[in-house]
Amino acid sequence: MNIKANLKYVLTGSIAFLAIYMFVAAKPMGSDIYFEPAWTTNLENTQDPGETAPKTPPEAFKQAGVEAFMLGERYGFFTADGKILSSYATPNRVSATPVAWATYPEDARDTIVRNPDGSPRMTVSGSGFVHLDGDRTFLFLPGGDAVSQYGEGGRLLWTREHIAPITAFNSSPAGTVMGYADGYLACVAPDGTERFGFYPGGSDREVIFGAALSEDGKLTACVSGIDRQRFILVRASGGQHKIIYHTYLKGNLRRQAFVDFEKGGNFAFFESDGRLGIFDCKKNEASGIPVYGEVVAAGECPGAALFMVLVKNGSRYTLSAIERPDHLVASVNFNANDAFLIQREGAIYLGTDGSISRIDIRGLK
Amino acid sequence: MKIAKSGNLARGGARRATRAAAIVAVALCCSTVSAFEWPFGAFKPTSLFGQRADGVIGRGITLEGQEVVRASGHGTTLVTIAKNGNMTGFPSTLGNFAVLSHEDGLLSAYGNLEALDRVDGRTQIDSGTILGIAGSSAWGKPKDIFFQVIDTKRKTVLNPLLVLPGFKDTRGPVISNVLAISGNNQPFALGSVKFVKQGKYRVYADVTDSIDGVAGEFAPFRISVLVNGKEYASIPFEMLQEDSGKLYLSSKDSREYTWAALYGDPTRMFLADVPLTRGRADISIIACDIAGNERSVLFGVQVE
Repeated sequence: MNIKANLKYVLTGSIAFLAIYMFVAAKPMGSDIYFEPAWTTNLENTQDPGETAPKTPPEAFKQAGVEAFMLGERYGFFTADGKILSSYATPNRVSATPVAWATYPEDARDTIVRNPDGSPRMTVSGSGFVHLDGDRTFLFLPGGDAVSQYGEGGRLLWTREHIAPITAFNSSPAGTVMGYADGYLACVAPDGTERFGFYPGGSDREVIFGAALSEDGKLTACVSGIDRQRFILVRASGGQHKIIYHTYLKGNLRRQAFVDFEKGGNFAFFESDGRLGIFDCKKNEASGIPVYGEVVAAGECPGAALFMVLVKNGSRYTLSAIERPDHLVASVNFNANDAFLIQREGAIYLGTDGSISRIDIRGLK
Repeated sequence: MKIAKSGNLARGGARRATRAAAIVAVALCCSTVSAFEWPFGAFKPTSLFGQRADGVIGRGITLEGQEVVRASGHGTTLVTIAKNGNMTGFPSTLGNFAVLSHEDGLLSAYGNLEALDRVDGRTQIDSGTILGIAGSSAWGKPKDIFFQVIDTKRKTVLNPLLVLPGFKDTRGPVISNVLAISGNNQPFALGSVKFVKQGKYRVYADVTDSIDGVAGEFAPFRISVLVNGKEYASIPFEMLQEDSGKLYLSSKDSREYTWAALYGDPTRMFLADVPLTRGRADISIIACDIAGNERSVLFGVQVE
């Protein structure tokens, strides 16, 4: 065959093949998403040791978009436009949310919970560690298996004890879910009424590694068991509960697993050995991406197809952007002793040791 | 009238012998099941199982002066939980802790470890393996170590002393501050009155144990309350069970000694409800520790 004579046919054929390939085999990009750095603020202590009243006027804490941060021994509040409202340093433990904060020593008793502006919000009477989640206040009691929830003014709402240490905990406006070292999974309503409590079982050794409750309280996600480890999704309504989905997971994670729902309740994230699972609650489908380390946080933007994941492996952190269901769009590595990730709609707040940055996600649909 | 005595009382001796045999049987049963070893070098407890412990009934043993913490038996790493150091997770009051799974459904938990790197990544753990050193990650005093045993088959928190080797102790419990409160909330110290009106009374006392060579006061292993030889309460500090989200020490009469019931009074322990009927009433309180040391007090009152 004379190639030279047939070159025009070869070229025409190649171009035609490429054109067809581009339309047939290409993956749709979804949208032209890009990341735009908005600001970076270096953290310095604005408060003296032991000081609880910030120097910033109280009104500044009432504006929309105030966020709490905790980085190592530093904590405080900042605004969406990058102003540090308060920055404290303490060797004590800290719990902080956009609506409250508390700091307490290892032998904490009668801890004072404060508003962001430093004014007292309530006193949590009793011994243990205070845990704030949104506007909810919990006290983990000595012994490792008991937790109480407190209401406004420090009123005790409920206390639950169990025979094994708590190994998983999560709350939402609709209630609280707790998992234990003996494999027991319990969910209570905001008033402490038990919505369900059972042993999911299904593995050689029972234990709960992570659990989360959806915003509306209807769904509970959980990673449980060793040999074989599994992810389960429980639907609770009308006093009944039912496992509506389960899947066995590869490997055995033997530490706390990250489990969380996106606010809209459409997706659940769950960590297993070397993977971050993404469960589509509408389609009842699970997918996942490999992760190398411990999932620290997963941000989300309700309605949008992109979410961010922060993974820690020693002092090396990886921030990844993932297009649902399981397409890795971008990732970046950095070294830090401490880091946090907060995603609010199309804005990402990334804290690393001595600084906080805001990165805007543009092109989200 | 008050008589305090160590060892056997003439009255009820046979019953106590039976009870002691039962305790030994439980201990032997548990020890043959698992035969744990001491997870720490020296037995210097600051708190024992069942003890009043800052709003909860003590779940295990708290020890001070420990450096190295070892696995109490051969097992599998079930889970490790790290002290919550960031904005996710929850702050366990056990701090950095590890839970091992052993045969026959027993779990052992080790809290307040400095770090978890000696456990993380290991699946099988031999008895005596170093799990870590004492830290300051848990609620309480730095360098204290928490040790708990959970029986997943019976769904109980087990007194660890039931599955650990015995130790020498010659000192018996102390019973003091004994109080009876009538139905209309009139308190009187037993031993200070000779006559009382008939009715139902709640009996409280401060019951503590001490251990050879160890400073401090500890929970006993069993407390019984008898009136004229009839047992009205027997509180065994053997296991905690759960009912509706509350842990309790169960008694033979099915009374649930929750923290609120047992330690609701800040200075004394609630022991029993006893009926006192017309005539003479001999109220006995008997306490023993796990080494078998026993102490009893007897109060005689005339009921009108």
